[in-house]
This record gives sequence, structure tokens and C-alpha cells, in this order.
Amino acid sequence: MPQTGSMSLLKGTLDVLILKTLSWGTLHGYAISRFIRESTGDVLTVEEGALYPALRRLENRGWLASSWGLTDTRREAKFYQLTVSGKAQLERELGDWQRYVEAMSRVLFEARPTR
Amino acid sequence: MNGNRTRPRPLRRFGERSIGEEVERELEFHLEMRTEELIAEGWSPAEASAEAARIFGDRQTVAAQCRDLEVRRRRAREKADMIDALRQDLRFAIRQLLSHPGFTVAALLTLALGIGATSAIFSLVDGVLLRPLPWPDPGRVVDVAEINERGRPNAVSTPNYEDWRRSSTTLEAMSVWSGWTDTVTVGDEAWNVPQSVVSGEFLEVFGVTPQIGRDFVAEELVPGGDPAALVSDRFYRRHLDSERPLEEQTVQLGGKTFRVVGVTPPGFEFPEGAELWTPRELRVDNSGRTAHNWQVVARLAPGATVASVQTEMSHIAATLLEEHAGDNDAYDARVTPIKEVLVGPSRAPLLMLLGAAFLVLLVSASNIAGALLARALGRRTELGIRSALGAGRGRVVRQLLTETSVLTFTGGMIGLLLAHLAIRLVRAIEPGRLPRLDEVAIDGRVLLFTLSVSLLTGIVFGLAPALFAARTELRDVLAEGGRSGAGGRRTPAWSLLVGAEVALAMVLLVGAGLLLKGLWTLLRVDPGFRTSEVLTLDVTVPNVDPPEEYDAQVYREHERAVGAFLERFETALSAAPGVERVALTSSLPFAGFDVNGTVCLQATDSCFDSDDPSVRGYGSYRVVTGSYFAVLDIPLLAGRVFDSRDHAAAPHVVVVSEQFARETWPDQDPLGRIVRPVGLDLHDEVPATVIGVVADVRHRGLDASPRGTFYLSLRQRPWRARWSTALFEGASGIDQIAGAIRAKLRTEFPRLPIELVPMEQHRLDSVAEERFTSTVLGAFAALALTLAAIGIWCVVSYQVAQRTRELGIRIALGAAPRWVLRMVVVDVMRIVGIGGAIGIAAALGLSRLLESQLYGVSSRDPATFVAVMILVVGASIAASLAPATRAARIDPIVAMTET
Repeated sequence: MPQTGSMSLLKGTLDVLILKTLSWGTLHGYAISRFIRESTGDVLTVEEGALYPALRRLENRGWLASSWGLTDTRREAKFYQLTVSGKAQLERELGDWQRYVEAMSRVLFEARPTR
Repeated sequence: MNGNRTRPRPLRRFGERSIGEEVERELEFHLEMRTEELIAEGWSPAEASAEAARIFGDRQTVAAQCRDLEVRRRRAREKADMIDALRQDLRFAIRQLLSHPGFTVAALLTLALGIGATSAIFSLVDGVLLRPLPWPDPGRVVDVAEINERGRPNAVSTPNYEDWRRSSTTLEAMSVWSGWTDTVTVGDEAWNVPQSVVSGEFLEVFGVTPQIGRDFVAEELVPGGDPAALVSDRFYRRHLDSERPLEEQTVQLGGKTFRVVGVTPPGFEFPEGAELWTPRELRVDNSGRTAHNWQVVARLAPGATVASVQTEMSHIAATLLEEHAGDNDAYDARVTPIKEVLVGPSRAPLLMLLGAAFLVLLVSASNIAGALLARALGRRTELGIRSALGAGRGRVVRQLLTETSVLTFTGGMIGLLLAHLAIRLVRAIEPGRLPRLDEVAIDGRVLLFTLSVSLLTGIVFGLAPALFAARTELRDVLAEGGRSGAGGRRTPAWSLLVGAEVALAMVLLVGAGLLLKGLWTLLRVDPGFRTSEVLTLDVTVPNVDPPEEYDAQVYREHERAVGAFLERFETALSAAPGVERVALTSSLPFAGFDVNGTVCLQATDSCFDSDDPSVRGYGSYRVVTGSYFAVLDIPLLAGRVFDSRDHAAAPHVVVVSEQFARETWPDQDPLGRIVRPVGLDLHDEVPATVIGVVADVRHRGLDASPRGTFYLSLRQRPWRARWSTALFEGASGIDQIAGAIRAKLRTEFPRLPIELVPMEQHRLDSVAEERFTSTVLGAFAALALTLAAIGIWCVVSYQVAQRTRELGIRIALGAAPRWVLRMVVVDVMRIVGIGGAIGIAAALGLSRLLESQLYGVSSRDPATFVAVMILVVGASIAASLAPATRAARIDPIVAMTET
């Protein structure tokens, strides 16, 4: 449901969100989508279905591992987990974001052109 | 070993669930959870479900994307798993092989010899027989020959060739050629160069155009035309100045100066090795239909086939035979693909050697199989434990096959190296009888062949031991108390392998034995003249070619000049220090061809066409100096040979061989008879008196019986000695005089190429083919016998080791060491006996294939068969003796306490 004040996800952003989400532990797909939704305060929206191909892409690159298991309510679900190289990838991406945000902040909020 | 196989395998844990189902289930779960969440927020169930689907997006697309990604991952993983397993297998195999260096080195060497032999011969077969000839569309080039009354191919006469060419519609281009080696001079240097006289369409026949310059033009293709020559790429590089324009370059040939007009592309050297081509129109050619002077090559016209050309040529030949009845002896024409003409004669010996090489490979592979079997038995404990730990049978087989393949692959690569060396050796010892030898090389094709042979050998000979070992159950191993090995006493597989090796070695030995005996018989044939301690030198009289237009006076002048040159040569060389005698002959024995001539026995005008033996004598002829008979030790049987009395102005004389005398004048005294040698030179009308009879000699080769021969005096009739060969005899051996002859030639005849060849070399060269095949086959047979002996030694050693306990008990119970020894050897002999019997039977069948290559030996020569049997039995006993002695010396106490 398009809401005012929401933004579409930047390309590649979903990947880093997934990695970040999973850095706290093993989760199934629905939990990941819910976490992203809630922690961004519904600002970042995405068609929820897009999550699943993204998960597989990450898994194919060796950053995630998956396995079937049971939820707290004893329902069968596929769980995802960060691999060692997935953690490393997350570190890299966080660093990139950090630099990106700092640079943008400097331009947008601090920098003043000198003559 | 299975370290990396513990990756999560979700499919297994949840049974057989397809990728599609899995994806659907995951998406379904999401939608259910989302719906529940919305209901909790207060939506009605129906609305919640619709809203969840809306937020989710296009489910079909998502599912398809997921499935696609999933499939991709699984494929990648399977591939990685396979590579992983292979790498593990390889690493393990290499570790295994490295930890048994003795076995590994022996096995590698054995395989390298077997595979190397096969690869070397294959590269010969490939280079000589299989590869297309180095011109465009070589399959369309044919040889056309006359067929004589007896159905044999013959060289072609000029008029027949010209009529063929005029009448044929199925041939696009046609040319004659006639090749020989003659002296070519460029500047101050002279070489003996293989060359050919050709007609105008020669290059067109082969579809070749000069890489530099041009082909002959019409003005060069007429009698008296501007002398022009084409040269090969090799000649151009070696002897001409590539810096200067081609138009300025000339070569001297037969006293004429030829302009070099074109250079053929690299690799074009037809006929075999030719480096220079000149137009036939520059040669005197007024010969008739029975003068067989030319070889003919032609290119098929588009749409024509060898068969259609054959039909047409036969028809043309029949017409010509009718039209020119009486003076045409071409009863038919035969069309043969040029490749067949070039390499046909080499096919049988080469394929025979390839077969022999495969037999050697079989012997060496059997050896390896035996050794692998022994090792597999020795590793039963390890393999049993591995299979108990869950390594499937396929896995164990794969592991063992990997080991074998590593072994055969490495062996094959070493074999390739050996093959490379072997080919260099072949080039060195093969004196030019094998065509296209310089095209033979280890290249991609040979590499591919070697690889395939190696891997195939690995799989075929590794499979049996691997399957055998994989049958091992831990239970059996434990029941044996963990002792390695101890299969049956006599494992049938081993008997089979050893028996096969013996049989194969036997076949090769019989073949080699027969060939070597044939060669030995051939070399012991007395040619009727001395071949040792005589040096030969080809002498081409400078300015040998008389003018094209016949002029009696000019020709006589020319002949006198030839005679004068040769006399000067003889005198000068006789004076060289150490030279005892110098002789000259128009053609050397063993030259590979024979020159025949006619003598008229009556004073009638012509005897050429006569079949009456009292009118016409026919035989091989030579123009020689009197010293020829002395230098070659040809015995004089009656009368005398040429001497100073027989000078040019004296009455002509002739010496005949015993056989010529017998054929021409049966039961009569040949001495003093008058004959008229005709068609040879300028003296057709001059009668000559028979002054001597000499013994017969085998001029044509050791395997060819002597031919009736007449000898003309070189002083009186030097015409046919324009291309001659000098023979030198030294006072104390030929080694001493070679230097003196060279020095003399350099100062007095600087334009003469110096190639001194011992007469003995000509004798050996005349049996070069026989020597080559029998040497190679002999080497193969020796190799096979050695490998078989090693195989026997290995098996007996192993069996003795396995039977230590049993033998120990027997000895403890009083068996004499001698008895133990005999028992072991008799065991082996039983197998050798059966293998040998099969070998003999096979050899009896196969040796018939050699029949055409055997001289003076039956293909079932009993002596050879017996000798081979003795050799094989002897080698087998020798091979089993060492381990058998060890068996006899077993200390019962040690044997029984040691496990």
C-alpha cells in the first residue's frame, strides 16, 4: 500500500538489509520481511515477494545458508542464516554505507562553497 | 576421505521434495503469516488474504525466479562436488603412488615403453600413411602407367603420353616427369640435386602455383627454348641469393645455364625430394612408342573419379594399341591415386609394426594389471575398512581407477618423450626408403592418440583389479585376522595375465626371428663381387647434354669430349696417393634399377623387333673400364677383359657374363663371336667381338637373381657413361685414401660434388627396408620378452611371499628345498606352457602376413620356432628362479611366527 513519505528501495539495498537482519540470528523469510518493515518504520517499502529471489541470490553467492525447520508455532518454514563469508560481506557493505552517508551528509548539511 | 561431503543436504532430510514444491511451500508460509498478521490488525479474513497477496506482488514471477536461482545453485554445487571428489581422488592417488616409489617407477617405465612404442609407430603411420599429401586436393591427383603384355605397370612412352593427353576428357591436367639426381652448379659451388624433367602442366596437376616468380611459359616449353628452371623452397633458401631479384639468378645444369623463373611453395617436392624442375622439351626426345621413359601424373577433371578415368584410359589405350599395332606395347593403362603410388609399398610393413607395438603395449599393460592386482590384494584391509565406513563400491572403484589412470597418464607422457626420441632415432637409421619421413612428428594428433591410448589402457587394465578389490567386505578381512592378501593359491587372473604375456611375446619373437633370419640370409647372399674396401663416387661429366638437334658430327665430338674427360679423371685419380685402382661404370650395382639393351647377333639390318634368340640377344648392360672387374673382384672365366689395346680407334670389343653367354649361345663358345649392340649410342652399325666371359653378379640387389649382362668398353663407347660412377680401391684400405681422393678432386675437378660412399654402404642400403623393419620388430620382441619375464618374476615373488606360511610348514614337515624350488618353477612352467602353446598357434597364423617380407625363409621356419620356444622357456625359468630360490630357503620358524 503506497504510503506518503515512503521511498522505494535503492537497488542493492535490499541485500544489505537482509544481511544486516540475519546478523542477529537465524530467521525465516517472513520474519526477515517483517523485521525490515518494522525496523524501517514502514518507510522503505518493497513488494514483499521480491525478498525471496533476493534470498536465493545471496545464498547462491555463498553469503547465506538455508535449512528447513519448525517455527515456535510448530509450522514448517525455511530458515536462513549468515555464513562466514556473508558476515564479511556485511562488514564491507556497512563500511561502504558509512562512507556514502558521511560524504552525502557533508555535502548536504555542512559544506559551504569557498570562493 | 569424505571430508567435504557434510554440506547440508535439505532434500534428504525432508524426503523427495522438488525444488518447485519447496518454493511454493515457502511462499505459501509467508502469505499465511502475513494474512494472520493483518487479521490481528483487524482485517476480515477475506480482505486480509487479498491484501497479503497484493503486498506480495506477482507470485508466479517470484516463484519462477526462485526456482531458477535454486536450480542454478544446485548445479553449481554438484559440479563443485564432483571436482572436489576428483581432486581428492587425485591427491590420494598421487600420495599412494609416491609412497610406493619402487612400484611406481617400475610401472611408469613399463607403461612408458609400451605406450612410447605405440605412439612412435603411430606417428610414423600418421605422417606417412594417414595425412593428406601437402598439395591442394591431393585425392584428385593420379598416376597413369602403361600396362605391358604381362599385365605389369610400365613407364610411359612420349607418343603414348601425347595421345593420352589429346584424347582424355576426364583429366584436367596431365604431365610427364622423370626424376634423377644430377649435379647443379650455382656460381662456384656444385651439388648433387634430386630433380625432375617435366612437361608444361606439371604444377597444374598438383594445383600448385609458384610462391615467387612464375610457372614455365610457352616459349620455354619448345625444343630449343630459353632454358628455364623451377626450384623448390628448400633449394631457393639453401643455394640461391634471396636478396637478389629472381630474374637475375641462374643455375648451371648439364653444361647449360638455366634461368630460375619460379620457386614452388614450401613442402612441394614431387617426386620425392625433388628440388629443381626443367622442361622436358630441352631434352632430346625422338623416341618411339616402346621407349618407356616417363612417369605420368594427372589431375581429375571436376566430376571425374578414378574409376571413370580408368575406364576412359583403358579405352584410349586399346584404341592406340590397335592403331599402332606392332610398334606399341602398351596393352592397357592403369590409373592409381598418387598417394597409393607414393606410400602404398610402405603400408604393409608400417601396419605390421603398429600391430607389433600394440602387442608390446598389451604385454606392458598386462604387467601393470598384474601388479595392480597384487597391490589391491595387499590393500584389502584398507579398502575393507573404507567400505565399512560407508565408501560405496563405486567410490572405491573410482578411487582405484583414478590411481591407475594417473599411472597410465604419466606413463603415457613419458612414453611420448620416448616416442620423440625414437622418431629421431628412426630418422637417423632409416636411409630414405620411407616416404614423407620429414613430415613425421609428435604433434597434436599423436598427442591425442597417446592420451586416448593411455587413458583407455588405464581404464581397461585398471578395471578388473579395481572391481576385484571393491568386492572386499570388512567381514572377510577381519576373518583373515587382518593379514593382508592371501587370495587363492593360484589366482586365475594372474595365470591369465602371465599366460597372455608369454603368448604375446612369443608372437613378436617369432615375427622378429623370421625377419632377422631373412635379413641374415639376404646379407649372406654373395652378390658375386666385392663390396668391402671399395669407395664409390658419382661422376657427372660436365656439359653432358648434347644439342637437341641431332647432328652426327656434333654428337661424335660430344662423345669424344665425354671420353676425354673420363680418361683425364681416371688418370688423375689413379695418381692420388694410396689409390691402387680406379674404375668407372655407367651404373653401379645396387643402384635400384637396371639398364637393359639389345645386341644383334647377325649382320642383318635390324634385330630390334625380332623374337628369334639366334637373331637378337637381350640383357642388362654396362659401360665400364677394364679395371672394373679387378676392383670388384669379378672373376674372369674365359678370355680377357678390356685393356689398353681396346682404345677408341681399335676394333670394338665386348665382355659378357656367364649367364648372358649361356642364354645367347647355348652350349657354344662365346669367345670371338661378333655382336652389334644397338640403340645404346652412336655406334649402332659397329660390330664388336666378344673377348671375355666373366662370372655373374647380382647387379639389381641381393634378393634378385643375376641377369645376363654384357659390358661395353668405356674407352670405345663412352656415350652412356655421361653419368657414371667411379670406384676406388686403396693399397691399404679405403679409410686411408678418402682424404687423398678428396684433395685431388678439389684441386683438379672443383666443380664435382664430393660424396664418397663405401660400396658396403650401398649393399646395406639395398636392404634398408628389411633392416629397418627387422630392427624395430626385433627391439619390440626383446622388449616384450623382458616385460614378460619381469611379469613372471613379480607374480612368482608375490605368490611365494603369500605362501610363506604354507611353504614353511611343508619345509618343517620335511620337504627338501630342492622340491620346493621345483614346485614353484613347475607351477610357472604350467602357465608358460599354455601361454606358449597359444603363442605358437597365433604365430603360425600371423607369420603368414610376413611372407612377402621374408627372403629365403619359410614363414613356418621350424628352426626359428624352436629357438623362440627355447628362449621363452629359458627366460621364464630365469625369471622364476630367484623367487623360487627364496622359497626354498624359507626358515619354517620365521615363516610361522611372522604374520
